[in-house]
Amino acid sequence: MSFFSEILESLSEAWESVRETFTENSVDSPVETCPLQNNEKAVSEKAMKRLQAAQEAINYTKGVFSHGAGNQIEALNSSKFNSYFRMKAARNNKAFNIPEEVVILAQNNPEAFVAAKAELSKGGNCGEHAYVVYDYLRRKYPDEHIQIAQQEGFDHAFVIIGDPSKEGDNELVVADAWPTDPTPVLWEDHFAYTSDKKKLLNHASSNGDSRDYKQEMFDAGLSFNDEGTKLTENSYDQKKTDEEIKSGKGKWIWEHPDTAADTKYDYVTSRPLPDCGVNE
Amino acid sequence: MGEPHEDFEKGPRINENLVLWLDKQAAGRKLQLPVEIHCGPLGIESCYLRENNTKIEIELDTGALSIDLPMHLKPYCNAYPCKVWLEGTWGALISVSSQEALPVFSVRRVIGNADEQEMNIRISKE
Repeated sequence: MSFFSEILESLSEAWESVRETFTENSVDSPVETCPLQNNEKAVSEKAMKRLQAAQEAINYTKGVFSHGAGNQIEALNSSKFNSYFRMKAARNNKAFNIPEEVVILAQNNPEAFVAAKAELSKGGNCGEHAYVVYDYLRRKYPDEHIQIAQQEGFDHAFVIIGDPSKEGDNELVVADAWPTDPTPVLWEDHFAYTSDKKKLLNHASSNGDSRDYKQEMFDAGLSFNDEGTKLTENSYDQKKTDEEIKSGKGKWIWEHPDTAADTKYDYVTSRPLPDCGVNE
Repeated sequence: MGEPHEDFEKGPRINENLVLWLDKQAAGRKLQLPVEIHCGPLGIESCYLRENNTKIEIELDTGALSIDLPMHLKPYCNAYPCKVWLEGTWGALISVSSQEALPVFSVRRVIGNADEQEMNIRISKE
Protein backbone atom coordinates (compact mmCIF):
# COMPACT_ATOMS: atom_id res chain seq x y z
CA MET A 1 0.00 0.00 0.00
CA SER A 2 1.35 3.43 -0.95
CA PHE A 3 1.83 6.33 1.44
CA PHE A 4 -1.01 8.24 -0.19
CA SER A 5 -3.34 5.25 0.00
CA GLU A 6 -2.69 4.95 3.74
CA ILE A 7 -3.39 8.65 4.24
CA LEU A 8 -6.62 8.36 2.26
CA GLU A 9 -7.75 5.30 4.24
CA SER A 10 -7.02 7.04 7.58
CA LEU A 11 -8.97 10.10 6.48
CA SER A 12 -11.84 7.94 5.33
CA GLU A 13 -12.02 6.09 8.69
CA ALA A 14 -11.86 9.39 10.59
CA TRP A 15 -14.65 10.83 8.51
CA GLU A 16 -16.79 7.72 9.02
CA SER A 17 -16.27 8.01 12.77
CA VAL A 18 -17.27 11.68 12.77
CA ARG A 19 -20.36 10.88 10.62
CA GLU A 20 -21.49 8.06 12.92
CA THR A 21 -21.11 10.23 16.01
CA PHE A 22 -23.05 13.00 14.37
CA THR A 23 -25.84 10.63 13.27
CA GLU A 24 -26.14 9.01 16.73
CA ASN A 25 -26.34 12.40 18.40
CA SER A 26 -29.01 13.44 15.94
CA VAL A 27 -31.15 10.42 16.83
CA ASP A 28 -30.63 10.78 20.57
CA SER A 29 -31.14 14.47 20.77
CA PRO A 30 -34.69 15.38 21.80
CA VAL A 31 -36.83 16.62 18.96
CA GLU A 32 -39.45 19.16 19.90
CA THR A 33 -42.87 17.82 18.99
CA CYS A 34 -46.25 19.45 18.56
CA PRO A 35 -48.19 20.01 21.79
CA LEU A 36 -51.04 17.55 22.40
CA GLN A 37 -54.58 18.91 22.16
CA ASN A 38 -57.49 18.06 24.47
CA ASN A 39 -57.72 14.24 24.72
CA GLU A 40 -54.83 13.51 22.38
CA LYS A 41 -52.30 10.89 23.43
CA ALA A 42 -49.05 10.32 21.54
CA VAL A 43 -48.33 6.79 20.38
CA SER A 44 -45.60 5.17 18.30
CA GLU A 45 -45.98 4.50 14.58
CA LYS A 46 -46.25 0.79 15.36
CA ALA A 47 -49.04 1.32 17.88
CA MET A 48 -50.86 3.59 15.44
CA LYS A 49 -50.79 0.89 12.75
CA ARG A 50 -52.16 -1.58 15.27
CA LEU A 51 -54.92 0.85 16.28
CA GLN A 52 -55.92 1.06 12.62
CA ALA A 53 -55.93 -2.74 12.32
CA ALA A 54 -58.05 -2.97 15.48
CA GLN A 55 -60.54 -0.48 14.05
CA GLU A 56 -60.84 -2.63 10.90
CA ALA A 57 -61.48 -5.74 12.99
CA ILE A 58 -64.05 -3.94 15.15
CA ASN A 59 -65.91 -2.73 12.05
CA TYR A 60 -65.91 -6.24 10.60
CA THR A 61 -67.10 -7.79 13.86
CA LYS A 62 -69.86 -5.24 14.44
CA GLY A 63 -71.08 -6.14 10.95
CA VAL A 64 -71.18 -9.82 11.91
CA PHE A 65 -73.06 -9.22 15.17
CA SER A 66 -75.61 -7.00 13.51
CA HIS A 67 -78.24 -7.73 16.18
CA GLY A 68 -75.85 -6.76 18.99
CA ALA A 69 -74.49 -8.73 21.92
CA GLY A 70 -76.56 -11.25 23.85
CA ASN A 71 -75.99 -9.48 27.16
CA GLN A 72 -76.10 -5.75 26.41
CA ILE A 73 -79.24 -3.78 27.29
CA GLU A 74 -79.19 -1.78 24.07
CA ALA A 75 -79.17 -4.89 21.87
CA LEU A 76 -81.63 -6.88 24.00
CA ASN A 77 -84.04 -3.97 23.92
CA SER A 78 -83.78 -3.22 20.21
CA SER A 79 -83.91 -6.90 19.18
CA LYS A 80 -86.54 -7.89 21.81
CA PHE A 81 -84.09 -10.44 23.20
CA ASN A 82 -83.36 -11.94 19.77
CA SER A 83 -79.65 -11.16 20.35
CA TYR A 84 -79.80 -13.40 23.46
CA PHE A 85 -81.29 -16.33 21.55
CA ARG A 86 -78.70 -15.90 18.81
CA MET A 87 -75.95 -16.09 21.44
CA LYS A 88 -77.56 -19.29 22.78
CA ALA A 89 -77.54 -20.73 19.26
CA ALA A 90 -73.87 -19.87 18.75
CA ARG A 91 -72.97 -21.81 21.92
CA ASN A 92 -75.05 -24.88 21.11
CA ASN A 93 -73.43 -27.48 18.83
CA LYS A 94 -76.83 -29.19 18.54
CA ALA A 95 -78.04 -26.16 16.57
CA PHE A 96 -75.70 -26.95 13.66
CA ASN A 97 -75.17 -29.46 10.90
CA ILE A 98 -71.57 -30.53 11.50
CA PRO A 99 -70.24 -32.94 8.86
CA GLU A 100 -67.24 -35.13 9.68
CA GLU A 101 -64.90 -32.91 7.65
CA VAL A 102 -65.92 -29.96 9.82
CA VAL A 103 -65.33 -31.98 12.99
CA ILE A 104 -61.73 -32.57 11.90
CA LEU A 105 -61.22 -28.91 10.95
CA ALA A 106 -62.79 -27.79 14.24
CA GLN A 107 -60.65 -30.09 16.37
CA ASN A 108 -57.52 -28.63 14.80
CA ASN A 109 -58.80 -25.05 14.74
CA PRO A 110 -61.17 -24.57 17.69
CA GLU A 111 -60.98 -20.75 17.55
CA ALA A 112 -62.14 -20.69 13.92
CA PHE A 113 -64.98 -23.08 14.84
CA VAL A 114 -66.29 -20.71 17.55
CA ALA A 115 -65.98 -17.79 15.11
CA ALA A 116 -67.78 -19.72 12.37
CA LYS A 117 -70.73 -20.62 14.63
CA ALA A 118 -70.95 -17.02 15.83
CA GLU A 119 -70.94 -15.74 12.26
CA LEU A 120 -73.73 -18.11 11.25
CA SER A 121 -75.88 -17.19 14.25
CA LYS A 122 -74.84 -13.51 14.27
CA GLY A 123 -74.90 -13.86 18.04
CA GLY A 124 -72.63 -13.93 21.04
CA ASN A 125 -71.36 -12.27 24.17
CA CYS A 126 -67.85 -10.87 24.59
CA GLY A 127 -66.23 -14.29 24.13
CA GLU A 128 -67.74 -14.84 20.69
CA HIS A 129 -66.92 -11.24 19.72
CA ALA A 130 -63.29 -11.90 20.68
CA TYR A 131 -63.11 -15.07 18.57
CA VAL A 132 -64.45 -13.28 15.49
CA VAL A 133 -62.01 -10.37 15.98
CA TYR A 134 -59.15 -12.84 16.49
CA ASP A 135 -60.01 -14.83 13.37
CA TYR A 136 -60.13 -11.65 11.29
CA LEU A 137 -56.82 -10.25 12.57
CA ARG A 138 -55.02 -13.60 12.42
CA ARG A 139 -55.86 -13.93 8.73
CA LYS A 140 -55.38 -10.27 7.79
CA TYR A 141 -52.21 -9.57 9.80
CA PRO A 142 -50.23 -12.84 9.93
CA ASP A 143 -47.01 -11.00 10.80
CA GLU A 144 -48.51 -9.63 14.00
CA HIS A 145 -48.83 -11.50 17.29
CA ILE A 146 -52.59 -11.73 17.91
CA GLN A 147 -53.93 -13.07 21.21
CA ILE A 148 -57.32 -13.77 22.78
CA ALA A 149 -56.88 -12.44 26.29
CA GLN A 150 -58.68 -12.17 29.60
CA GLN A 151 -57.76 -10.70 32.93
CA GLU A 152 -57.79 -13.52 35.48
CA GLY A 153 -61.00 -13.49 37.49
CA PHE A 154 -62.69 -11.00 35.17
CA ASP A 155 -65.47 -12.47 32.97
CA HIS A 156 -64.45 -10.57 29.84
CA ALA A 157 -62.47 -11.57 26.75
CA PHE A 158 -60.85 -9.34 24.13
CA VAL A 159 -58.03 -9.42 21.60
CA ILE A 160 -54.56 -7.95 21.99
CA ILE A 161 -52.41 -7.02 18.99
CA GLY A 162 -48.76 -7.36 19.96
CA ASP A 163 -46.91 -9.71 22.26
CA PRO A 164 -47.47 -8.95 25.97
CA SER A 165 -44.45 -11.07 26.92
CA LYS A 166 -42.09 -8.94 24.82
CA GLU A 167 -43.60 -5.48 24.41
CA GLY A 168 -44.59 -2.57 26.62
CA ASP A 169 -48.21 -1.89 27.49
CA ASN A 170 -48.11 1.32 25.42
CA GLU A 171 -47.29 -0.69 22.26
CA LEU A 172 -50.04 -3.27 22.76
CA VAL A 173 -53.44 -2.52 21.27
CA VAL A 174 -56.81 -3.97 22.26
CA ALA A 175 -59.45 -4.82 19.67
CA ASP A 176 -62.62 -5.29 21.71
CA ALA A 177 -65.84 -5.21 19.70
CA TRP A 178 -68.25 -6.08 22.55
CA PRO A 179 -68.99 -2.58 23.94
CA THR A 180 -71.85 -0.84 22.14
CA ASP A 181 -69.61 2.06 21.05
CA PRO A 182 -66.20 0.40 20.79
CA THR A 183 -62.97 2.14 19.89
CA PRO A 184 -59.49 0.67 19.54
CA VAL A 185 -57.37 1.46 22.61
CA LEU A 186 -53.91 0.87 23.98
CA TRP A 187 -53.88 -2.05 26.41
CA GLU A 188 -52.93 0.37 29.20
CA ASP A 189 -56.16 2.32 28.50
CA HIS A 190 -58.57 -0.64 28.33
CA PHE A 191 -61.21 -1.13 31.02
CA ALA A 192 -59.88 -4.59 31.89
CA TYR A 193 -56.25 -3.42 32.13
CA THR A 194 -53.86 -4.90 34.64
CA SER A 195 -50.16 -4.12 34.85
CA ASP A 196 -49.59 -7.61 36.26
CA LYS A 197 -48.73 -9.71 33.19
CA LYS A 198 -49.25 -12.90 35.21
CA LYS A 199 -52.94 -12.05 35.45
CA LEU A 200 -53.27 -11.65 31.69
CA LEU A 201 -54.55 -15.01 30.46
CA ASN A 202 -53.80 -16.18 26.95
CA HIS A 203 -56.64 -18.25 25.46
CA ALA A 204 -55.15 -18.47 21.98
CA SER A 205 -52.38 -16.79 20.02
CA SER A 206 -51.53 -16.65 16.35
CA ASN A 207 -48.54 -18.30 14.72
CA GLY A 208 -48.42 -16.66 11.31
CA ASP A 209 -51.02 -18.99 9.79
CA SER A 210 -53.43 -16.95 7.68
CA ARG A 211 -55.47 -19.85 6.26
CA ASP A 212 -59.23 -19.28 6.31
CA TYR A 213 -60.41 -22.32 8.29
CA LYS A 214 -63.74 -20.67 9.01
CA GLN A 215 -64.55 -20.46 5.29
CA GLU A 216 -63.34 -24.04 4.84
CA MET A 217 -65.85 -25.10 7.51
CA PHE A 218 -68.66 -23.29 5.68
CA ASP A 219 -67.56 -24.90 2.41
CA ALA A 220 -67.53 -28.32 4.09
CA GLY A 221 -71.16 -27.91 5.15
CA LEU A 222 -71.22 -26.22 8.58
CA SER A 223 -74.71 -24.72 8.70
CA PHE A 224 -77.76 -24.29 10.88
CA ASN A 225 -80.15 -27.17 11.32
CA ASP A 226 -83.85 -26.69 12.11
CA GLU A 227 -83.19 -26.27 15.84
CA GLY A 228 -80.65 -23.53 15.14
CA THR A 229 -82.90 -21.72 12.72
CA LYS A 230 -85.75 -21.86 15.23
CA LEU A 231 -83.52 -20.48 18.01
CA THR A 232 -82.47 -17.47 15.93
CA GLU A 233 -86.09 -16.63 15.17
CA ASN A 234 -87.01 -16.36 18.88
CA SER A 235 -87.86 -13.03 20.45
CA TYR A 236 -90.08 -11.55 23.17
CA ASP A 237 -92.72 -8.86 23.20
CA GLN A 238 -91.83 -5.49 24.73
CA LYS A 239 -93.40 -6.29 28.13
CA LYS A 240 -91.41 -9.52 28.54
CA THR A 241 -88.27 -7.77 27.24
CA ASP A 242 -88.61 -5.04 29.87
CA GLU A 243 -89.21 -7.59 32.64
CA GLU A 244 -86.17 -9.70 31.76
CA ILE A 245 -83.89 -6.68 31.40
CA LYS A 246 -85.02 -5.38 34.78
CA SER A 247 -84.44 -8.78 36.35
CA GLY A 248 -80.99 -9.36 34.82
CA LYS A 249 -79.51 -5.85 34.81
CA GLY A 250 -76.26 -5.72 36.75
CA LYS A 251 -76.28 -9.49 37.22
CA TRP A 252 -75.66 -10.67 33.67
CA ILE A 253 -77.07 -7.88 31.51
CA TRP A 254 -74.82 -4.87 31.01
CA GLU A 255 -74.92 -1.32 29.75
CA HIS A 256 -71.35 -0.96 28.56
CA PRO A 257 -70.67 1.51 25.74
CA ASP A 258 -66.93 2.22 26.06
CA THR A 259 -63.74 0.25 25.57
CA ALA A 260 -61.61 2.82 27.37
CA ALA A 261 -61.33 2.63 31.14
CA ASP A 262 -61.56 6.35 31.68
CA THR A 263 -60.43 8.91 29.13
CA LYS A 264 -61.36 8.15 25.54
CA TYR A 265 -58.11 9.26 23.88
CA ASP A 266 -57.57 10.56 20.40
CA TYR A 267 -54.37 8.73 19.57
CA VAL A 268 -51.81 10.62 17.49
CA THR A 269 -48.28 9.92 16.39
CA SER A 270 -45.72 12.49 17.53
CA ARG A 271 -45.06 15.20 14.93
CA PRO A 272 -41.93 17.32 14.98
CA LEU A 273 -42.35 21.09 15.09
CA PRO A 274 -43.33 23.07 13.10
CA ASP A 275 -45.48 20.56 11.19
CA CYS A 276 -48.48 20.81 13.51
CA GLY A 277 -51.37 20.69 11.08
CA VAL A 278 -54.19 18.17 11.24
CA ASN A 279 -52.85 14.79 12.33
CA GLU A 280 -53.43 12.01 9.81
CA MET B 1 -60.29 -22.50 44.88
CA GLY B 2 -62.75 -25.29 45.66
CA GLU B 3 -63.20 -24.36 49.33
CA PRO B 4 -66.70 -23.33 50.41
CA HIS B 5 -67.28 -19.61 50.64
CA GLU B 6 -68.45 -18.25 53.98
CA ASP B 7 -71.75 -17.27 52.37
CA PHE B 8 -72.50 -20.91 51.60
CA GLU B 9 -73.39 -23.86 53.79
CA LYS B 10 -73.47 -27.58 53.25
CA GLY B 11 -76.62 -28.56 51.41
CA PRO B 12 -78.27 -31.90 50.68
CA ARG B 13 -76.38 -34.94 49.50
CA ILE B 14 -76.52 -35.92 45.86
CA ASN B 15 -79.15 -38.64 45.52
CA GLU B 16 -82.17 -39.50 43.40
CA ASN B 17 -84.33 -36.96 45.29
CA LEU B 18 -82.01 -34.01 44.76
CA VAL B 19 -83.64 -32.62 41.61
CA LEU B 20 -87.05 -32.65 43.28
CA TRP B 21 -85.57 -30.90 46.33
CA LEU B 22 -83.90 -28.25 44.17
CA ASP B 23 -87.10 -27.67 42.19
CA LYS B 24 -88.97 -26.99 45.44
CA GLN B 25 -86.34 -25.40 47.69
CA ALA B 26 -83.70 -23.66 45.62
CA ALA B 27 -85.65 -20.93 43.86
CA GLY B 28 -83.78 -17.64 44.01
CA ARG B 29 -80.87 -19.03 46.03
CA LYS B 30 -77.29 -19.23 44.88
CA LEU B 31 -75.91 -22.74 44.72
CA GLN B 32 -72.53 -24.36 44.31
CA LEU B 33 -72.64 -27.75 42.63
CA PRO B 34 -69.82 -30.28 42.12
CA VAL B 35 -70.35 -31.00 38.44
CA GLU B 36 -68.62 -33.72 36.46
CA ILE B 37 -68.08 -32.42 32.93
CA HIS B 38 -67.57 -34.71 29.94
CA CYS B 39 -66.14 -33.48 26.65
CA GLY B 40 -66.37 -34.76 23.10
CA PRO B 41 -64.37 -33.73 20.03
CA LEU B 42 -66.19 -30.40 19.78
CA GLY B 43 -66.50 -29.39 23.41
CA ILE B 44 -68.73 -30.09 26.41
CA GLU B 45 -71.10 -32.99 25.71
CA SER B 46 -72.67 -33.89 29.04
CA CYS B 47 -72.63 -32.90 32.71
CA TYR B 48 -73.49 -34.91 35.82
CA LEU B 49 -74.02 -34.71 39.53
CA ARG B 50 -72.60 -38.00 40.77
CA GLU B 51 -72.51 -39.89 44.05
CA ASN B 52 -71.55 -43.56 43.99
CA ASN B 53 -74.44 -45.18 42.09
CA THR B 54 -76.42 -41.98 41.61
CA LYS B 55 -75.73 -40.14 38.37
CA ILE B 56 -77.95 -37.18 37.52
CA GLU B 57 -77.48 -35.64 34.10
CA ILE B 58 -78.03 -31.88 34.06
CA GLU B 59 -77.85 -29.20 31.41
CA LEU B 60 -75.67 -26.16 32.00
CA ASP B 61 -77.11 -22.83 30.89
CA THR B 62 -74.13 -20.53 30.20
CA GLY B 63 -76.12 -17.51 29.02
CA ALA B 64 -75.09 -15.48 32.08
CA LEU B 65 -71.40 -15.91 31.27
CA SER B 66 -69.79 -13.28 29.09
CA ILE B 67 -67.12 -15.81 28.18
CA ASP B 68 -68.43 -19.29 27.40
CA LEU B 69 -67.78 -22.06 29.92
CA PRO B 70 -64.96 -23.91 28.07
CA MET B 71 -62.75 -20.80 28.37
CA HIS B 72 -63.46 -20.55 32.10
CA LEU B 73 -62.60 -24.23 32.55
CA LYS B 74 -59.17 -23.98 30.93
CA PRO B 75 -57.24 -23.23 34.16
CA TYR B 76 -58.88 -26.18 35.94
CA CYS B 77 -59.43 -28.93 33.40
CA ASN B 78 -56.44 -30.42 31.60
CA ALA B 79 -58.29 -33.65 30.99
CA TYR B 80 -61.89 -34.80 30.95
CA PRO B 81 -64.07 -35.88 32.67
CA CYS B 82 -63.31 -32.95 34.93
CA LYS B 83 -65.09 -32.23 38.20
CA VAL B 84 -65.50 -28.59 39.18
CA TRP B 85 -67.50 -26.48 41.58
CA LEU B 86 -69.86 -24.27 39.63
CA GLU B 87 -71.79 -21.42 41.19
CA GLY B 88 -75.17 -20.37 39.86
CA THR B 89 -78.90 -20.75 40.21
CA TRP B 90 -81.25 -23.66 39.66
CA GLY B 91 -83.30 -23.44 36.48
CA ALA B 92 -82.79 -21.69 33.16
CA LEU B 93 -81.44 -18.14 33.17
CA ILE B 94 -84.59 -16.81 31.57
CA SER B 95 -87.92 -18.52 31.37
CA VAL B 96 -88.65 -20.34 28.15
CA SER B 97 -91.97 -21.67 26.97
CA SER B 98 -90.74 -25.10 25.95
CA GLN B 99 -90.11 -27.80 28.54
CA GLU B 100 -86.40 -28.54 29.06
CA ALA B 101 -85.44 -32.18 28.52
CA LEU B 102 -82.93 -32.15 31.40
CA PRO B 103 -82.80 -30.29 34.72
CA VAL B 104 -81.03 -26.97 34.09
CA PHE B 105 -78.41 -25.19 36.18
CA SER B 106 -77.56 -21.64 35.18
CA VAL B 107 -73.84 -21.04 35.70
CA ARG B 108 -72.53 -17.70 36.99
CA ARG B 109 -68.91 -18.65 37.69
CA VAL B 110 -66.41 -21.45 38.06
CA ILE B 111 -65.15 -21.78 41.64
CA GLY B 112 -62.43 -24.39 41.15
CA ASN B 113 -61.74 -28.09 41.06
CA ALA B 114 -63.94 -30.41 43.13
CA ASP B 115 -62.72 -33.55 44.88
CA GLU B 116 -64.06 -36.88 43.74
CA GLN B 117 -65.44 -37.36 47.26
CA GLU B 118 -67.66 -34.27 47.14
CA MET B 119 -71.14 -35.69 47.71
CA ASN B 120 -73.06 -32.62 48.91
CA ILE B 121 -74.09 -29.48 47.18
CA ARG B 122 -73.61 -26.06 48.80
CA ILE B 123 -76.39 -23.58 49.23
CA SER B 124 -76.26 -19.86 50.01
CA LYS B 125 -77.14 -18.89 53.56
CA GLU B 126 -80.52 -17.20 53.81
